[in-house]
Amino acid sequence: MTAATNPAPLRPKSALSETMARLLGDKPLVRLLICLAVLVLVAVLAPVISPHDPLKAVADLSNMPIGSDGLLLGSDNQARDLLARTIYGTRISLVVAIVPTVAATTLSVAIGLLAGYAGGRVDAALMAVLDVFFAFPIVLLAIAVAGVMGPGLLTIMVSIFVVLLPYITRVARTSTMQVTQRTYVEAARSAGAPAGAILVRYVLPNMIGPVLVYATTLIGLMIVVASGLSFLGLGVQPPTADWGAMVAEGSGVLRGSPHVTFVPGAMIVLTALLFNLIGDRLRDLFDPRKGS
Amino acid sequence: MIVHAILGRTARVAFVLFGVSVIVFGLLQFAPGDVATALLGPQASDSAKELLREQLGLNKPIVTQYFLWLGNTLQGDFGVSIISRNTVLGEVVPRFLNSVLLASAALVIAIILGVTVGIASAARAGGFFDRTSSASVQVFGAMPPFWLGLVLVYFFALQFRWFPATGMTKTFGGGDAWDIANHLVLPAVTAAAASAAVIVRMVRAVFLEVLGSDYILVARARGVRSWRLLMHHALPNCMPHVLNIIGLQLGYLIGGTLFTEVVFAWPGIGQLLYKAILGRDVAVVQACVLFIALSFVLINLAVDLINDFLARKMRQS
Amino acid sequence: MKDLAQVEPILNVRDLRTHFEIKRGKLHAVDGVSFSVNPGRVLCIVGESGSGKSVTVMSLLRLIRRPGKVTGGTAVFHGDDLLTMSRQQLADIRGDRISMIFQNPLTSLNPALTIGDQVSEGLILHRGMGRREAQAEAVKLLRQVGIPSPKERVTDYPASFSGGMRQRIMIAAALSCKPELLIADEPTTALDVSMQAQILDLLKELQAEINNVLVMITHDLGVVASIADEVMVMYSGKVVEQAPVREIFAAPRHPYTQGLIATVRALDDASRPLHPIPGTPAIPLGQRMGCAFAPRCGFATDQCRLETPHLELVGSAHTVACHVKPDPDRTHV
Repeated sequence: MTAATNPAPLRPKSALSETMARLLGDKPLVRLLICLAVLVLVAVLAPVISPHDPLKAVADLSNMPIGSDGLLLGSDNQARDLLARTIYGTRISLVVAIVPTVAATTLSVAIGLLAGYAGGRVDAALMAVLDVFFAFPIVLLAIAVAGVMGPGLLTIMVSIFVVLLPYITRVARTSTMQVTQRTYVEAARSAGAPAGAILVRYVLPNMIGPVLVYATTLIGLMIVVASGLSFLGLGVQPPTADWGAMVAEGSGVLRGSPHVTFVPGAMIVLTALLFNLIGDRLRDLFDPRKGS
Repeated sequence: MIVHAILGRTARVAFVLFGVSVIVFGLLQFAPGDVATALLGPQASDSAKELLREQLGLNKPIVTQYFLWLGNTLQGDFGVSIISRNTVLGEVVPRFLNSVLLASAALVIAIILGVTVGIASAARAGGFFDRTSSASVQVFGAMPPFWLGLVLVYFFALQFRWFPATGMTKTFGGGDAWDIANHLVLPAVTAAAASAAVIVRMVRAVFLEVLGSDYILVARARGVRSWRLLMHHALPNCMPHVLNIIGLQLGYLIGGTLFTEVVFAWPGIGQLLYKAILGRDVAVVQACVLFIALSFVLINLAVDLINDFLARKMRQS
Repeated sequence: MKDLAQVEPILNVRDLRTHFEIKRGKLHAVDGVSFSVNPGRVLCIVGESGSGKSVTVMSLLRLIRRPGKVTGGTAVFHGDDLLTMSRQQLADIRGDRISMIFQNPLTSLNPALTIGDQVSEGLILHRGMGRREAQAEAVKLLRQVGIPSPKERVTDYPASFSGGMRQRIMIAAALSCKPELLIADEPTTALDVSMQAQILDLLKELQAEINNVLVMITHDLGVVASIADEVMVMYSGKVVEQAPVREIFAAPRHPYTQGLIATVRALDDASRPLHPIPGTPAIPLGQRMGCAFAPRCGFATDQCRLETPHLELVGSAHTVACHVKPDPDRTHV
């Protein structure tokens, strides 16, 4: 009875279930999420669904065209099955975009919470440091970091992480400052609640939404940037199947066998597009300027 | 008031430049292995390395090293390239100019395409053209520039043979203007595509907002029709935003240019950076990063100043 | 009265319908509105906000934006139907023969264009004047509406004018081509009281001078009393009562009109008890049955709740849409 009459808008639990209901009630978003689930499934089940070993030459000839006997997408310049390589490439693309985004978001939220809540000099110092990072175009920053570290899967992930950190931190800080000004936080502050408790119980659940939405809108771009690093040879090394690297390998036989270049590139476009559409949809759903 | 604002901005830019220099200096420190080996290459003799360590003050504390490096850099001494054995500055400057040419061409294409398509989409929002352009914007916004470059090369250079794919070696003093322009088309389009997509999207949003305002309704009630309504009544109100948008996506454009240069073998700073990274030519990497970041900061500063100026003009009148 | 009826009306609106497709269904913002205005007359359209007054006049000039849509009716202006004529024909009429003044002078002027540009634009578009000639004419117009030192200020931007001045500028722009029909959508609502009277006087004066037709939307019955010849009362997208101004005040027959007038009288005269109309305005959403005002009406019968009342003649030029048509004396006893 008391629970029913007592509105608890700040309880993370009820807010979470309400948010989930809202997300799953949006048909376009659900359709996009189903596409994403399929993509993730392809990545996870790659060993099961892949018709061939992506690393071994299986065809009699290299650069066989699409629809060749037993090879749906033909073979690449080393006579490997293009379909198998494309399927396996899903794994790396998803990992190098999602893992650094999750990591960067986590750290950004922590930094943003502290700076946004503390304000004053801490905040000013943070903003100054962020300004320095914004002086680098993101691709340049990614290439510079990758160039210094030397090629590898970890390199790409660190690059993406470094690129994302200042942008997400800026949003986390702004979001924190907006929440901090609300009355319930003021009330908790003046009641003498410890800062840690206020941050975790009141500020965090209310500032996290916009940050997550923003981070989602960046994943598509990060897939493109990460594939670019692989294309430049700064990512995973051959013979591992990776879309960006596959485009680079295919570019050598572009004239006679364009499909070796086109197929992995199209997968990059589709995957980035999917994440962009999901991000846009989330932003539309949670945009405070758009009522109802 | 104005002096104060300019001083504040200058102080901020000065700090940013300091930060950029620290990061670029840091690139050397974070590079794996010995700094002298990194700078001179693995084939260098021990005595040469020791000499360089002495020159750079590598045995001194890191802060001292930074200021030594900064002093050299400010005098234009970026060291020597381990690949070409030329001075780094001599390597970077001509390529930087080539990149400026490519980036400028791309910027012009992105602005013309982005602004016109954005306005046309907003003018008939929800119509066939708007839906088509919005879909294209999504696709081009998700397209890696290096892949777009290869697709364009396949169709327009290899199949239709309209434009050359590569072969741009010397921009200034090489071929005539026509030759340069011919070599420029595909790379410029490639570098412009993603930026154009971003500009279309944002210009459309800005125009839609302005077209929804009361004074546009009033102008329609006065008998003003489509073209005049867009160009005479809406455009001046969108200009400051459009300029801001163009400034904001310069980062994309520069990023796109870096990849484009690699695909088209365009002799610019992006290609130099790429080769330097593969060849572990750290001094060249540093110089390239510094040049690009510096130009980015200065362009952003210019955009900010122009915006301030426009805003003041509006307020005064 | 008979003579007036035989005069050819400048504007004849029949069964105008405008819908808004919104999430919750179809909003009948204008639901079968008919009226006509004769030369030299002032028609006031009265009603609470949301009654469809603004949408009615915006529909006439086809200025309704999505999700709104004019779905039916005719609006014959000098023999041509405004609702079906070509865009070009309509654009030629807008600002030339029919002009409009809007509610909010602060947002109705383009901040990026000089006031001279905006006042003279109609002359350039419709009179084929050159820029210089039109600017000179704009100076005259600005002087006419009471802008001090118009010659110097014609090149200023709207930001340097007050709200009242901007509404004068709007009026100058609207009257630049001497329109036969001037539509004013609550032209004084956004202004302070002393400015309201000045703008109203200006409108009256200019209307007499050009001898055009003025259609004015207002929710202020004081304005109606001072300027109107005819009054049309709207409620929930429909016309509920229409009559010459004297008759509306002397013998209102619709309970809604009666309520409006009683409210104003109470405000004017402290000895009378204040009787605001109870309840909130009906939203004309979806399928409707009966009189929209019935839920707020003290006279409502079962018939009112089931049958939609239609306008019927109760005087020589007085129509009312009400099944009960209570005597004015019985109001709020």
